[in-house]
Amino acid sequence: MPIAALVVATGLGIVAAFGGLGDAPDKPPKQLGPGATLDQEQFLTKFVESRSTVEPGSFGTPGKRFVEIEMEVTNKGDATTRVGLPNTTGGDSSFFAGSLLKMTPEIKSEYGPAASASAEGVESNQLQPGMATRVVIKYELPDGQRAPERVRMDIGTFEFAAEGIILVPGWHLATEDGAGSARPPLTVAAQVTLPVQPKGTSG
Amino acid sequence: MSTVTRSRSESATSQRAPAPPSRWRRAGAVLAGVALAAAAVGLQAFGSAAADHDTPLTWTGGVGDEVVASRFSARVKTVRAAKALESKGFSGEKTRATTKGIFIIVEVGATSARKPLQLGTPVLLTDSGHRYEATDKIDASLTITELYIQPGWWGEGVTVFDLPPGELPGSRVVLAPSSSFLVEPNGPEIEIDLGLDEAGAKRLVSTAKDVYTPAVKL
Repeated sequence: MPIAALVVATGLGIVAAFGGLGDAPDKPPKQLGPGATLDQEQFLTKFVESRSTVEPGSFGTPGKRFVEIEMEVTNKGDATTRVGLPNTTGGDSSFFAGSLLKMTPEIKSEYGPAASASAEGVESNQLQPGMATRVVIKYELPDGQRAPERVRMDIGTFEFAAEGIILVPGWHLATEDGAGSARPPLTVAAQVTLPVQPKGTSG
Repeated sequence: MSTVTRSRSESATSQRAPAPPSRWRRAGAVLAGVALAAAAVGLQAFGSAAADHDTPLTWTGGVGDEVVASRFSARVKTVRAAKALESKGFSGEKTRATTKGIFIIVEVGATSARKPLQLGTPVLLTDSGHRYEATDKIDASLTITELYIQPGWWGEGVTVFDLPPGELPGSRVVLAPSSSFLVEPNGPEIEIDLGLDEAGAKRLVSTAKDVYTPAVKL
């Protein structure tokens, strides 16, 4: 009997030491499709569509092809913020596009993706409080690469830090509870899968 | 000679003085000390919090007022509304910016007290506490922020905001010198109330022009 108790105790100890008694991982991220809306705390984001477009070349140069992702973003915060650029570092960002954590398949553009809030011909980079704004992220396809049939994006969410020692007061990307970790992984709030619809010239 | 006699008389008095302070007096001193310490701790509550150090000092006024702040003065001449902005590029092609809200065009004048300065991005502060930065749908080179504000005369220009019409009542324009690389605690800012109540805001929106074309000054 004492030996059995010892075995059980040792087993429990090992399980605890390796974190087996810790919290189970959070529920898997929501799976969303075209037209779905995600509440990112600072933003309310509707994933409108994804499309492939062609920009005709001028003076005999070959045309450029793009994969675009269109969203409708409403800034729920108190102040004007910026669209910014999709996250490539896995680090913190206080701008909207920083919450686009990852895209599968990855499209490696020479200069990286472009992101803007468009307003009929004039590109803006601002997201004004309370205004639903059309945001387009544009990935240029390398020569000879075809547009994927669908893209899947990992989308993060934001948290407001009123005062902090490490964080600047303001909005930050939410992270997983990583006590003791200097760079806890960013929270994936949702995975959005959009079919890439072929469209004509880039608009 | 006289100095010697005086020192002698002083030493005579000091010999008589040192009677040890009574117990009551010592208790009183301790009490006074405790009271002072308590008062010092209590006063911390009125001290400035960390957040107060980087908030600006604000001078306020209304439309048409010449508001004089520590380093610069500013005034708002007119407030207009438009549904679209149109500007011409260098090659002559027109670009048109639209909004789901409304464009508010504020004509601003400013002068500096001593040194030339430039204004930072103006902000429209609403009753709901929202801060709308001047829109980037109009090229910044066409707005007041491009101008060097000089001492001695008034520089004039516009600043354009893009916001939902419902946010207009009670809104104020906030102007401040552009921040340099130095962080300036309690820098000056001027807040001018646009003087819009519900009715005034409705009137402004209903008289909005279809297109506003900024004047090019060059």
